[in-house]
Amino acid sequence: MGRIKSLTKYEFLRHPTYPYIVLAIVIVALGYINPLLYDVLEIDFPVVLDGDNSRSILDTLNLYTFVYLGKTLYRVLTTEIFRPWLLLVISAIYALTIARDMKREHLRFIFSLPIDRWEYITVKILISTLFIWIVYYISTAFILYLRFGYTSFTLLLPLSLARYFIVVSAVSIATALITGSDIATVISGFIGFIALEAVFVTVFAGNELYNLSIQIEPYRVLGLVDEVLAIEDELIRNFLLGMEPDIVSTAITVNNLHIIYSILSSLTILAIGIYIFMRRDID
Amino acid sequence: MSLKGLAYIKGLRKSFGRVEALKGIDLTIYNGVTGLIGPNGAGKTTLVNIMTGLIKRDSGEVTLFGYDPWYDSKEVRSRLGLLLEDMEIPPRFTARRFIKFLSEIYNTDIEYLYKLIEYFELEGALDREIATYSAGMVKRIMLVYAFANTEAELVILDEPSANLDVGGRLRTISFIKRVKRERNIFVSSHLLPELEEICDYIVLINNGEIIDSNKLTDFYREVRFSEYIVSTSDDDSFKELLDSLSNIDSYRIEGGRIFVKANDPNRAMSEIVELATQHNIKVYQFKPSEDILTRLFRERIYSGEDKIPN
Repeated sequence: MGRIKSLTKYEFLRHPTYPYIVLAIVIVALGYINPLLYDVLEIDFPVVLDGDNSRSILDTLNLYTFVYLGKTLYRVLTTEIFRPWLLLVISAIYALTIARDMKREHLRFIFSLPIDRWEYITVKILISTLFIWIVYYISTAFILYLRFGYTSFTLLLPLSLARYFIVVSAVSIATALITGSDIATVISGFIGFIALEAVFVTVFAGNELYNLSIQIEPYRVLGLVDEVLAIEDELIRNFLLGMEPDIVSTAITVNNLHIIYSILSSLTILAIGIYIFMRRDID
Repeated sequence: MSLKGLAYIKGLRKSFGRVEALKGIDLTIYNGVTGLIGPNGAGKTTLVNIMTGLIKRDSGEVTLFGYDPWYDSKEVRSRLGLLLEDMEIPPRFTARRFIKFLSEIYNTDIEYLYKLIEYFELEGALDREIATYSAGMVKRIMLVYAFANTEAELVILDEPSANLDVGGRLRTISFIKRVKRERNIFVSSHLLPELEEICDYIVLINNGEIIDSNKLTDFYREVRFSEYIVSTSDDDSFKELLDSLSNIDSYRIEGGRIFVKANDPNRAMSEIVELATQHNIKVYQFKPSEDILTRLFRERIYSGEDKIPN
């Protein structure tokens, strides 16, 4: 156990921090300058914050609030049309950071120690995940503070971004594990992720959800952000106002399923990455 | 010293794409100091990498201390001390922090590590980041690392003297000589005279095959030198007499020194001493013009004189 503790401390101390700082600045800047900010937040937030229905953010365990908060924050961070590209760029930065950190010479040192690959991967994933989680937490909290002066945050806040967070972490770590430092593999990792997600949606999504996705996706693909937002907003607003529970619950389910598909896809990619790393020559 | 094998290798093969790096080698590594020699690209580093579990063999058997280095890598490495090629000692660590880390990982007494630091003359740089070290200092901290595991049953050193100045090399050789009674060492190096000083066994590898493997003392019996250096009290006068020697095949003068070739060195030496004495010249030296491992290298790897000129 002392060995693992030493390894963890060692990896933590040598983990690069500057790319995370850059990442945080990018996220905050995007959140701050996003043209959708006022459209989305100024209208909707009061409903959440101090509506008569008492769904305050402090009521953080409320799943619906989380869904709403997650969607809102996410829109702050990205416009829908740029979502995949932004994710790709962020992940590429992140993956290259990890890959650079896991360069051959370092691995040759680590695996000259009495440490096996499983132990190293576990430590590495935990540390990388912790770092990016902190970045997400601080950045999103900072955006909310900048725009709304909102200062009460719970540890659960970034969980509202769990889907994107897990995708970025898992796919990035996986691609880093596979190669070392190849940008092409990072992109391949994401193509694999998107393909897997598509498979999961196609195989598992029910008719109703599928129809709903079909209703939204063409707008998304065509870059018609307003239309996408209008549909999604309507669904969420309806829910928040306690109207049309069927549609709202469907929307929530769609969202949850998308989260599940994303997580499944990214974890599958991660599993592939780990499998390859376990068999990879470090020569 | 008993002939107990530490590592057994049988039919080991490894390819990288189309390049066959190891072509089914068999090797036993015994207690003592074993030197691995061979030209660049012979397969030395691949062999070391497989023995340490860094790369996976394609086929064959490898066991160290009864464990498979790929599948039981942790067990194997906990019994190894390692200095590997292209291994990065954490550059942002100071030496002090690094040896603290090593003492935690190997559960080694920190005082012993401080003594190693002192031996390799790094005590003045204890609180400097390793990134600021010269290449020689980095190699010395790597040597500290290699010998940090006091439980190591085998220390593997890949080019331990590279980047070291003369003082550093002498110190390293002296250290290995000092610890060789307690430690088993497997060392890969191009510095053949140094290996000759420290090794009990020599393994020659070329083109992914073990060319020869034997005790160094056996090689002394087997290897035939063909050229000798003669050093006398009056080389200039003695050079004039060389033509009269019948037991030498040829001679050459290079850098003021006398080199003679002889198939029967005993008869040649006797004749040289006799001739020199007749002319009141003292013979100080009659010794092979190269060390045994260089000769061995020339004989077994390059098949004689032609490919590598004297």
